[in-house]
Amino acid sequence: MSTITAPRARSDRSGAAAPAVGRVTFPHLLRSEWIKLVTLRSTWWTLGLTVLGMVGVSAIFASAVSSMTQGMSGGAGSFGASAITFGYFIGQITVAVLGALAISGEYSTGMIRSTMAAAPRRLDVISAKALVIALVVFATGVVGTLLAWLVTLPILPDVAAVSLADGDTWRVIAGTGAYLALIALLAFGIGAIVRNSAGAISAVLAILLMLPLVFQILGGLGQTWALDVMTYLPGAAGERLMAIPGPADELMTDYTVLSPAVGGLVLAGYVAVVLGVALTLVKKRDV
Amino acid sequence: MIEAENLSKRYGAKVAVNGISFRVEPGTVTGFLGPNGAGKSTTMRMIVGLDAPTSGRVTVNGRSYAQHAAPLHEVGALLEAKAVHTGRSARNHLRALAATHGMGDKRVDEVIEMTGLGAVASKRVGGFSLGMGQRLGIAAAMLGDPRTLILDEPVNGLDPEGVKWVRTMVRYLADDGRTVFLSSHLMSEMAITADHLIVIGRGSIITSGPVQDVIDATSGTSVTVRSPGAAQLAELLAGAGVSITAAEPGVITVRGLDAATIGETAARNGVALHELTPVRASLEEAFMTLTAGEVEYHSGANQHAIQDGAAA
Repeated sequence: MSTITAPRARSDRSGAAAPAVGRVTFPHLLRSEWIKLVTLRSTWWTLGLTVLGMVGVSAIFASAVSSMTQGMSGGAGSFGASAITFGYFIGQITVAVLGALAISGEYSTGMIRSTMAAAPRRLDVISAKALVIALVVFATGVVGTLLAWLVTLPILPDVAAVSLADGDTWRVIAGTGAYLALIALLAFGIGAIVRNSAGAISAVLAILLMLPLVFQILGGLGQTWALDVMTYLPGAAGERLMAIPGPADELMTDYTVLSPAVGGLVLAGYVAVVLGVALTLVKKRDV
Repeated sequence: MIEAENLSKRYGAKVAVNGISFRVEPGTVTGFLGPNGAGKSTTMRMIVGLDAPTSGRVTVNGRSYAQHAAPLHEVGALLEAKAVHTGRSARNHLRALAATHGMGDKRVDEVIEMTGLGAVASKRVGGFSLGMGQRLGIAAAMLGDPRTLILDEPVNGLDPEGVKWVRTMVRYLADDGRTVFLSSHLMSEMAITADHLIVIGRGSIITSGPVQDVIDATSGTSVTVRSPGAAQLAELLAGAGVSITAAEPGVITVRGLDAATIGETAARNGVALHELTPVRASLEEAFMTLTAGEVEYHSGANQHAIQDGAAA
């Protein structure tokens, strides 16, 4: 019954030699995750909204800067930089959704079982996925910021103009990309832990938007320690990646002000912890 | 070759798979038969490393699945209908899986053609019928052109056309010399497709062997006797190796004696016979007999059906 009967012409046999050489490698996994990411509509929606939101917010902010800086003769450069990066506030929400969906979508649809059956080394799969997300979001953040710079060019007054020749400008642009990439990874890690889209997105938005509010209210009630802690929250610390020292800092003498590098490292630390927990759980749990 | 040794899986206090050992030999179609909840899917998930065994081990071609450098070339698995992201097209789903092993679009197009998915390959999987979903699952399993295929309930929920397609496909793959390990709770399906059977109930293997052996060993033949003196006849026939069950008044089912012996005994004792029918067991009945005590949740009505089935 199961013996090989008369040899028959089989079109799929001709292709058998080619796939036989293929092995699961990290570059292959990156390619697979890249295909997965770009073949979902939700990716294009979230990335499109990210860029659109960043540019839109920057245009509005630039208009505000334009009227704020009337009569100023200098020292307004940081306002301009803030204008082109402020879109991160919208962008962080959409990239968090993207990061969470990238993994929770696999769990909710059952795709994760196909994924893990094809590539049983789970840590490699999750790492490849995280790396693809981080690179795509970083690139989107940089593109969004450059577009925001372009759009605000005619709006910003000379005194707050942002020059691409300035090294700080590029640091801020890269910083925006890095901030968004780290937020996407934070969401990705939480998504891998809770394995549920709604839960993961809610959790990230709570961390980014509600947690600072809670500490601010505590601070307002006279709990000064709350203000110190607030500086080290993921969002607040990470935002320093986009900061340019300027008059805005002088308004915040009551707060601890982290340097961009330290702020970025604090956020990266949170991300590392969350991803560490996520990887441990993914390795241990049944799929 | 798939080899399981004392394989167990416990979910909390519930034992899903209880220390089973079996081998799926190369080049055979082995049926994994059991009622729903018997542990078939759990066992298959353990084979491809999705679930970690609580104890014991299972290997594929001598190694645990995760240790293979190119698992898709060793084993293709259809684990449940639609382990697929609903927002992606069939072709892109296959492209993503193929990419993990460095396979390109050429191979993807081959399996699409092979499974007849051409017309819907660019459509999103969310709108697929169950039958199309199964075809996609089989296409994914075939990507690496593996010598071993694991198919979990491949005909479950399919319409007759889909069932026929899957059957033809399994036969084609087997005739091609591939090892096929497929599960089902439908015995009739197994009679058509499998050479070899592993019967599982409540996490334990009840029996295994070539299909015909399993049928012969479990029930053998029975004889249905209808007689106004059924009770008297039952007493006369009783003896070692004979089992008699009464399905309804005036009707008994006798195992362990042939029709001639029963008829002669009746004639010698003046018992009138209204019916004397030898019944050859089908796989269906063999299965019912084997798993009667192993079905996890059965209603009174089902129990009745089992007895009726055995007596019919």
